[in-house]
Amino acid sequence: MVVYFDNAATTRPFDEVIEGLKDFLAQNYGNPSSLHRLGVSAEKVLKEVRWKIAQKINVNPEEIYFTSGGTEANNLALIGIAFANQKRGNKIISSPVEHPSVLNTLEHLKRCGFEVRFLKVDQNGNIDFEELENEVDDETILVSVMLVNNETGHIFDVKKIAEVAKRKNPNVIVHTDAVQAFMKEKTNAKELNVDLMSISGHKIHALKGIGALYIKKGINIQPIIFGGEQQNEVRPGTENMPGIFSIYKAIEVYERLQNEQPNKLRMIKQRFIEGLRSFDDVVINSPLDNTSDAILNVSFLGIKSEVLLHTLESYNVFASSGSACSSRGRTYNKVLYSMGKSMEIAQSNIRFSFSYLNNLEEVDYTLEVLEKSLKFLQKIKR
Amino acid sequence: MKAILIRYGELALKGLNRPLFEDRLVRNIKRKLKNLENISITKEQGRIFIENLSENDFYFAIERLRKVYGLVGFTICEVAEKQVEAIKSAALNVALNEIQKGKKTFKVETKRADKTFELRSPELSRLIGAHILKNLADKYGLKVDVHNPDFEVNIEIRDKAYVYSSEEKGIGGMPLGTGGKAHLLLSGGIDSPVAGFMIAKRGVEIEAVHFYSFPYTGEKAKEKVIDLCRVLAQYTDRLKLYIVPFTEIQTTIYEKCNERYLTIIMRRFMMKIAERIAKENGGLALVTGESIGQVASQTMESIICTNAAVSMPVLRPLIGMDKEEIIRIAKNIGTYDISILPYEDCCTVFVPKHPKTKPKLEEVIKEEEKLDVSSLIESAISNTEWMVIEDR
Repeated sequence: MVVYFDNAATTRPFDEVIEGLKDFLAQNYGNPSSLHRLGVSAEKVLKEVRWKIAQKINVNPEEIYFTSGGTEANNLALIGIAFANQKRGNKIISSPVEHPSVLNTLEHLKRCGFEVRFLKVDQNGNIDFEELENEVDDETILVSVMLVNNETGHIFDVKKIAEVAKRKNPNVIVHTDAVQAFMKEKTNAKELNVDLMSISGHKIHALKGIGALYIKKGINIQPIIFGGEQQNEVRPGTENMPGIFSIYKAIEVYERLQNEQPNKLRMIKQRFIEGLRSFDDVVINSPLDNTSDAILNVSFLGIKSEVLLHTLESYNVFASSGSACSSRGRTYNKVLYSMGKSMEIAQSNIRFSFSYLNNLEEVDYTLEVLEKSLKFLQKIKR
Repeated sequence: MKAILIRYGELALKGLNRPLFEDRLVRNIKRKLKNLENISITKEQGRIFIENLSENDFYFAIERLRKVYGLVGFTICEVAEKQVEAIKSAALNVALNEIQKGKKTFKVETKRADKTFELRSPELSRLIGAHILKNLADKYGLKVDVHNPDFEVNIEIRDKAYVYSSEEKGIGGMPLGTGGKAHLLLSGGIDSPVAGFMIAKRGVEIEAVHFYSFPYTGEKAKEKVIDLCRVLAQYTDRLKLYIVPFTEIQTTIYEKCNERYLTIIMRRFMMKIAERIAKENGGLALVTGESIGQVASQTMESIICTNAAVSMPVLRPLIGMDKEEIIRIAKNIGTYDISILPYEDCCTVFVPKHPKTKPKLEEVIKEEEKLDVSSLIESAISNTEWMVIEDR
């Protein structure tokens, strides 16, 4: 049995996506900017997909801009808003547990002279709204907080974040990185009261290299890429049609699966948590409420993430540790550590992330494998 | 007409075996340039000439010659008929080329391999020097300086006249395949690839042995070692890599032996296994990247213990080098950036907190007797995989 529990990293494209692409690539190869029939036919697809995404997040199709992925969507949102609104102020507020494509973009903006503030996050991933209210001032142009954290699955209360920020300063623009949330959690942009939202194709069984950014009409934004007149010149370049088509197909299949088994991911995660109860030295890092059904982050104390990861891999179970070697040779999960979890927890965490292509048998198999692996690894723990 | 002229050095010192070495070098160059069609490679008197190159071929060929062991230097030269007028215009081209690099003074040197040529060397030198001055002195402020010139115009009279100036240094060493075969213990760190490069540079064919401890290191660590082999294969043309599963040995030592001897016993196992692989595959020596005092397992006392594990000679080309020097070579040969990728030592589970820095051999052997050494080695050898990495 091969168990792919690393769906927060990427997902396998749905079969329907792969099948549909074959025909699409061969027949509908026009450039949507062309004036002839082939161009028009590609443009129709473009409109159709915009409509589909817009519908999912409750906005207008013309507010959807395609990018090369979640990273570019985040870059465009932050850099594009910061520079277009410089006249109003130079302060940006975010959280310390954002994805690197937000954190490192903010580092870049710091070097460009913007003031960036990171709100404190507690062990459950919650921010302190009082701190937020104090931080938002007349100089603040942008608040960017993710919807679902990619390491722990914690869901931020973006609705309240937007509400608190805009009450203090009505001109504040709010962006949310919804890459891990799209299709899995509520991503109603109107209800959340956000002005920008990033999504990505390969987290929902579409292709890699395609993403989208919702930009509320009337928001002042500058492009970060320059070229032709595509997408209102906000994001020029010939549209990645195969990727765009793949998003449409993926949403279609996703909706069908959700209708058939609305609570599938929740059941998978619950079964996993149940099974872990019989293990010693296990800490569940994902919060128990306000958390995504798709992500379960666990620490097996005393066992280094990477070693357990490879042991699971030898049984064909694929997960993630979300850790990177730091320069001091220590390997730990920075997100967990910055939430105030101990180094021991941050060095021994494994992230299991689920999708509709998984099932309960896979959970049972993984638990068996975990038990075997931990027994084997305990032997050489002193 | 242009050609590439190659000088090879140390070989000229060889006695009666010289043709063997030279032929090997020519063969190696041919193999290195196998993608170039219709080129001719000829050897004469301490020189190798590559001719019939197209304009594009030159760049490709030079790039590849930079990675051939045994070359002292090479240069692109003008080939002319053996007539004074033809030599004049070739020399003018060569001089112009150097002037464009901002050089101001020159002299002409002539070598006559063909003694039937109408002019003697000094006469030809004067004649050509005068011609260059006449054409370029006023325009570029060019002067003659026989003691310390910015550039030399070299003329060699052979079957044709070859005119050239600045030469690029080759990596030196001996032609690959003239020095037997040795087995390199390749870890994925900075040192061992450099050690392999240096021994291969002496003409020794290298095969690499890597110890793989899945799940303590992952696929990425293995890929990293393969990438290092790819870089080394650019010099050695191809490289056979043995991947030895090491986990069982590590865990057994960990369970049964005193923790402070962990590293030293592990190293002794590595040496024994590498020696076995070498003996079965025609290797005459082992190569390691050890350098005295760098880490606890590389003190003199530790080296005595690891050395005693094998009877084969162990070559340690980095033994007296500082880390700085090793890093400099690693950067030059292109292994450094791969070596510092942080997968290798992600797992520190087998590193004792206080390793013995001065282990005594008899104590180590006593500690080792707790293990069934030969069956552990058997099992590792029988599960060893190998692959050949070709220079692409």
